[in-house]
Amino acid sequence: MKYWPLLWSNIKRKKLRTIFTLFAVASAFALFGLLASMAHGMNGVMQIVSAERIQTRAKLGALPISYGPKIAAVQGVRSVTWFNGFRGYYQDEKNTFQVIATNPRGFLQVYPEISLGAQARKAWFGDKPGAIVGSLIAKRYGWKVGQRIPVQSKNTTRQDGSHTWYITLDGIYATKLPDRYKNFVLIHYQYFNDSIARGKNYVGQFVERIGDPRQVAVISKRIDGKFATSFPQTRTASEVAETQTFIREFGNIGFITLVVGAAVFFSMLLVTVNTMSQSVRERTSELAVLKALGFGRGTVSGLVLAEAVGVTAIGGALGLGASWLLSKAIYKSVQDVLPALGLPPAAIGLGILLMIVFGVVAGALPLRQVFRLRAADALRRA
Amino acid sequence: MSATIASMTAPGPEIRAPLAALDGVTKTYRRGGETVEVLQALDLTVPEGDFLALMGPSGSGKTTLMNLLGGIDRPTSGTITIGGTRIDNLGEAALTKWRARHVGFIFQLYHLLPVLSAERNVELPLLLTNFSRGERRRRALAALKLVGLSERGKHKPTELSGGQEQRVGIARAIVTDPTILLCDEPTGDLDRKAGDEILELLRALNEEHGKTIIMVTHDPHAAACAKHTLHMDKGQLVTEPHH
Repeated sequence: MKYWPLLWSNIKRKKLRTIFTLFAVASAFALFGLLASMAHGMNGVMQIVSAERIQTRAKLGALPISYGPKIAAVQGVRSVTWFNGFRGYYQDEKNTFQVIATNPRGFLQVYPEISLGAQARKAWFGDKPGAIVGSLIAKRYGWKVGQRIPVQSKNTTRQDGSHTWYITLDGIYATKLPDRYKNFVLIHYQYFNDSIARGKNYVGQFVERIGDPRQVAVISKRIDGKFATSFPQTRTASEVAETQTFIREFGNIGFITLVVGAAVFFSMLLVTVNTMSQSVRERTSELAVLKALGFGRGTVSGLVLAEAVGVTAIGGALGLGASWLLSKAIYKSVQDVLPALGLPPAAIGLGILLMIVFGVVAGALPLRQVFRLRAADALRRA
Repeated sequence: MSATIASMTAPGPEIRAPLAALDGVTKTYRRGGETVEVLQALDLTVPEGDFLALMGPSGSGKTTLMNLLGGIDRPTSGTITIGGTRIDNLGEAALTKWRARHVGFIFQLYHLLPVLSAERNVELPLLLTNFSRGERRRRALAALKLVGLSERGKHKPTELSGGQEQRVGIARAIVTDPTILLCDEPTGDLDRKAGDEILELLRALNEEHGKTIIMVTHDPHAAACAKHTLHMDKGQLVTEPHH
């Protein structure tokens, strides 16, 4: 630490140049952080899918609920759940969340990642206007089990013309899935279907849990075959395949972004290396003086390296901080598509490592000048 | 610091035993395809407590001789002994360590670090010691006081006059209480008044504090302040120092 005043003074020596360098490094690491957030978001999508689940959608529009028992009867299907619902809010229109209307037993069988206590299960299964909610939303609004909660819908109208759905909270579920999945309100499909004014007896999709993931193609074909002559026809695919298609669509963009990002990152590194080299060149006589005063080659080299690492560390920290804020802001708009988007701790660790490595690389090149420097020659030239 | 203060304030000794001894020192450089002999089989003895001026035309080998005495250059042949230590055969690391402990350099262009205050510049050589920050600061302030700049410690070199910068350079050179002070044209970049002040300071360091000083100069007026003057030409001593 005794060298800190010397290091800091050198970093501040040419303020404008330092600011530009820091900006270049910060931009590079902000880009790195954003790419890492995006990659984490993509990986997160794959983590929440199951090879044991397949999804059935209509080739056009919604599916009639009457398809449910027929799908359940298909060989290889162990359980079926279905979804409808609306965007609801509590007390204030700003407090929005997703209300999912489903069949409680089927839902919990198809999604074992959702954990609900035995007592809550029993209560919910037998309570038509009952609901279970995620731990985060319960905490946010201070909801307690047994509480009667008025949920408002904006666009979904009840038969009586109102938009208020009274639900009784039967339980709070837990899950290790990303936070987005802890913010749902799950209600009985039957309660929803009986109450809505329009669109009765339809669902957005069916989700099936199958016994053998190797049978995905066969079972999907069986389901779609069952409705081949019906309208609407169905399109069934594994959750993994659906997700992989989604990721592939994004993947090309991701690859291009990665290539461009890597190029920008490399350019920024060159800028830093060039700046450090220039800075060392300008100070040859000062380094020679340090050598004449008795500073060893190792100490002088250490000072040059520490200065370079200092610049990349400060710039890198600013950049990673900016990417963290940016990914938080972006998350709000893409949380439905990329629920796991965010800067993961592993990326922060890798970022810190890169800051050190790039700092050392940036310092190592001008270091050759330091090694070649002979105090007598440098002082004679000065 | 007590040792430093003692040596800075003790009465100047008379010239004592030999401090620096050069025996058959030759220094050659390769310039283009040619070998240039800058010093030719030079013998020199400098007693402890001496104030020696080295004069001579440009290219006569004065600065090379001083660099060899200060351990920032090595002879092609011959031996150099300073304070009982043979420095010509020391390894790089050992020579650097020796230099930090035993040599104080004073340069014509001061060579202060412009980003540091006067106090921090003086403190620089002490960073190589194990002194605490407080002790380093105390010693730096004592050195600045000795050169008459105790009020200017917080100023950057650009905020000081040439004479003041050279005083800071001298404070930096003496802060570790070195065995020998090597001055390369210390007044070469100063006007006469500031130059005289620096020479007076060097004289005081020699006479009142017993510092052994070797000074390279072109200026006969500066050389007149030394106890002895040695003339060099074409890498050889022209006049032996008289004691």
